[in-house]
Amino acid sequence: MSRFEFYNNDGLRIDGRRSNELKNFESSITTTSNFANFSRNTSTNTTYLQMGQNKVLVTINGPKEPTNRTKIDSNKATLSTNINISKFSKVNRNTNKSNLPDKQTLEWEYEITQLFSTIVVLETYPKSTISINVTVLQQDGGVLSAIINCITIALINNSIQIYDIITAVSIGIVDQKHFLLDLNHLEEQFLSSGTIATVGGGDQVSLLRIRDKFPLDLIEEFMQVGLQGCSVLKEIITKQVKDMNLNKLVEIQ
Amino acid sequence: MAKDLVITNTERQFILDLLANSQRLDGRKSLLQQRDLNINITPNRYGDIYLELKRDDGSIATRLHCKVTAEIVKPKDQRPFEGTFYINCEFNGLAGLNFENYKVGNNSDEFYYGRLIESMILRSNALDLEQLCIVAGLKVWNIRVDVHVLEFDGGFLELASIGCMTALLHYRRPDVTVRNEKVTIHSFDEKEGVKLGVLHIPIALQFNLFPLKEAAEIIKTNTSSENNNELVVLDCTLKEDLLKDGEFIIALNKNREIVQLNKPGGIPISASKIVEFSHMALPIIEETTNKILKAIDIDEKKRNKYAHLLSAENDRYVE
Amino acid sequence: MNTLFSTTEKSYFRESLTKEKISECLRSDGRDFKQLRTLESYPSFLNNCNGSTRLVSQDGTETIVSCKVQLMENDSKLNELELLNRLINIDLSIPDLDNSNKLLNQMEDSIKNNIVSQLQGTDKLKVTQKYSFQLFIDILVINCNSYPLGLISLAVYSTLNSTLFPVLISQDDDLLVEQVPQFHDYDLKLIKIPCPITFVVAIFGDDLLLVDPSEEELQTADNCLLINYIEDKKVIGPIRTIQFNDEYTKGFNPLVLSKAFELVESIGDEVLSAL
Repeated sequence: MSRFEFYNNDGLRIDGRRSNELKNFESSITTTSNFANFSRNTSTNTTYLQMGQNKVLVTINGPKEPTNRTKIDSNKATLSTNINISKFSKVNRNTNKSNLPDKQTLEWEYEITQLFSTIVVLETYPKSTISINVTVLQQDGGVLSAIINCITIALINNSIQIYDIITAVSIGIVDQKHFLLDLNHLEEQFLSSGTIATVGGGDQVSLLRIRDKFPLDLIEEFMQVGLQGCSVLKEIITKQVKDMNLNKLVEIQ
Repeated sequence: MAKDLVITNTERQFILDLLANSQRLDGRKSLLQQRDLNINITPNRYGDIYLELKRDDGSIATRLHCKVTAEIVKPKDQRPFEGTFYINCEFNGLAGLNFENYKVGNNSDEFYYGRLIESMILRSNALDLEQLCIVAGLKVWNIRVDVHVLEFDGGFLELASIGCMTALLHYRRPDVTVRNEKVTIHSFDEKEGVKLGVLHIPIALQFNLFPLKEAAEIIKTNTSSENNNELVVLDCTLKEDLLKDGEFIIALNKNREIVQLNKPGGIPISASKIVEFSHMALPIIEETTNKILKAIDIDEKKRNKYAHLLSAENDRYVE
Repeated sequence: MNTLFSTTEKSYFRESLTKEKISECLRSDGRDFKQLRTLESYPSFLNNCNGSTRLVSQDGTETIVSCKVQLMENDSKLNELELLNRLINIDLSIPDLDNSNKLLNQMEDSIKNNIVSQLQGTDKLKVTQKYSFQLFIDILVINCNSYPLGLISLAVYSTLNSTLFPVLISQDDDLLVEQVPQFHDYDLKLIKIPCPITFVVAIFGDDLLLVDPSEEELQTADNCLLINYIEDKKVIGPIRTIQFNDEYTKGFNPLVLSKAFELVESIGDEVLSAL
């Protein structure tokens, strides 16, 4: 199928990870709210996530009054997502002249909006909009999962109420038997792969996306690997969010 | 989908209560029962299909028209050896007053479903694009499927995927000969058309989710996979479709391969359920595939009425 | 950008900056007149670009600049300026401003012209007789809260100063031999591309000049100057004026110009050394 050996006999992958090893996961916030700036009501912090070589920035605007009057829902807030994949995010620069997003990005926007519409407690913010702006600075396989994780952290950092943490990982399959967690770009390019997102690290699947051919009988194992990955990731995210906010508290004091 | 259709709170409650008692608004007795599917192939044409979903009383719920057209274009620079493929999904006034002048946005369901079918066919190599190459880098066939909704009461995704696959299976493009870089297109009178290379037949199936509890409760009762948190309904009508709170789309082929598996947000469901439903989808899809193949087979026989006279084969075929 | 202020708010900002004595004037965020907003800088943080910078300003405006280098074959029909214009590519994107926005295009042009004018007469981007380096500078502005040109120019400066170019290992004279330049597999070298930075200076009356004005100050200033500065205490052209409000805008005394130059010259090197 390809000239790469994705999973060798010693149980190592191309980049030296084990099959169920996640990429390193580091998130941080840039807060400007502790600069005294009284007349601002726009978003004040940017969440930055590095998941392996994926680099994603998320800013959240809102809850705020919608600019478009027709979009007002008097019972709950409306959510909108805007994903900007920067032209320099891949090794070769995208030479496409227009700044219009491609179809895949639009699909992601649709899915992410649907996903977070059930997770954010929208009823707490009636007659307002929350807009999620995602900028992908660097891609390295599993971008969708990085975006979802980063949005979760950003929502927490912006103190927007959510029911539970959503975590996402990408999974690939080698030779119909080995499952690899959290793919890099080579693996994503050549293997059948999918993305799975679960709520609160449990076994409730919130988003699932397999776009390649995949044997039906292996779906159970696929899910198990995915659920495991998500629950590990949940621990990591919880810890990092706590640490981040402790640091913030120390800074303010 | 239909943006202007408003469902009153009482009607909403009524439909949901019905569903909770395994009853459907159109008289179906089970949540997993699908409506009858009819495939009509227009005679004397290639790749021109009408699909109907019939209610129990015989009236037509949804009607769809799929048509394949082919033209010669210049291939994309990155893929000079491959033809191109495009699906155009349209809802217009024909489908009902609710759809009139309704502009398809990029964030709409139609866009998403259209893309889903397109990538279902392209990413799984269901249509062999390399066979569509005429002169590498200069001339390839562009296959375009137009899906028009003529009457609509739910079931778009399934019908569109069946329609596209049937149309592609049935379509014949004109034959071409290349001599000294000169391309001649032969009309059907001159030479018989060439079938498209359809390698396998993926069919999509949509499972619709209706929560039995508040979303908050479902998310909080995290680990209980035994509990029944949601209803799963097949082949929703339009009204049910508007009330659903999440969906789960699977595209399979007969070879036990998942081609697409999508759950775009909505209420979460347990992983074991997804596995269960994926396996449940297989017999349904096998049945649909057989229906498609049969319809094409019948059409083929009608066209070649006199084929048996010209054939040297022994007559062993018994119906 | 374009935060709406009420008339009361505006007149309050205006008043606090147009006192009789300069020493009594106060900026809304408490800065000194020639103090820039606090910056956080993260240079070279994208590793598949040749150079990159992330710069966050105090008001939440954030900009990300990436520079990618490509090899381009020279078109011998072009003169030097046309060639340079093709070698330097700027792509600026700001949320809520579309591609044809005037303000955006003007910023793009201003940055491009600054770099091109400095590169004229130098061979910094030349690889061989037939090939040159082509630079793609992509600028993303996230969370734009005030006129971002000042911040962008600082980020571009910092990026270009840390952009690494591939090292040539083949012959540099290929006029006689048809040869595509060969580069070292991993070794990179720094080519310092001169890049002026732009200071935005807001003018209030004849005496008061504010460096790096905030949105409140932009909306209440008499006029604003865009002054380009390059190392060694040199203010270079073009100098331009720009206005952000209709209510207070008026002309200014030409003497203010020389004052502004002095001001920029006095702080310029300090700013550059900080990056």
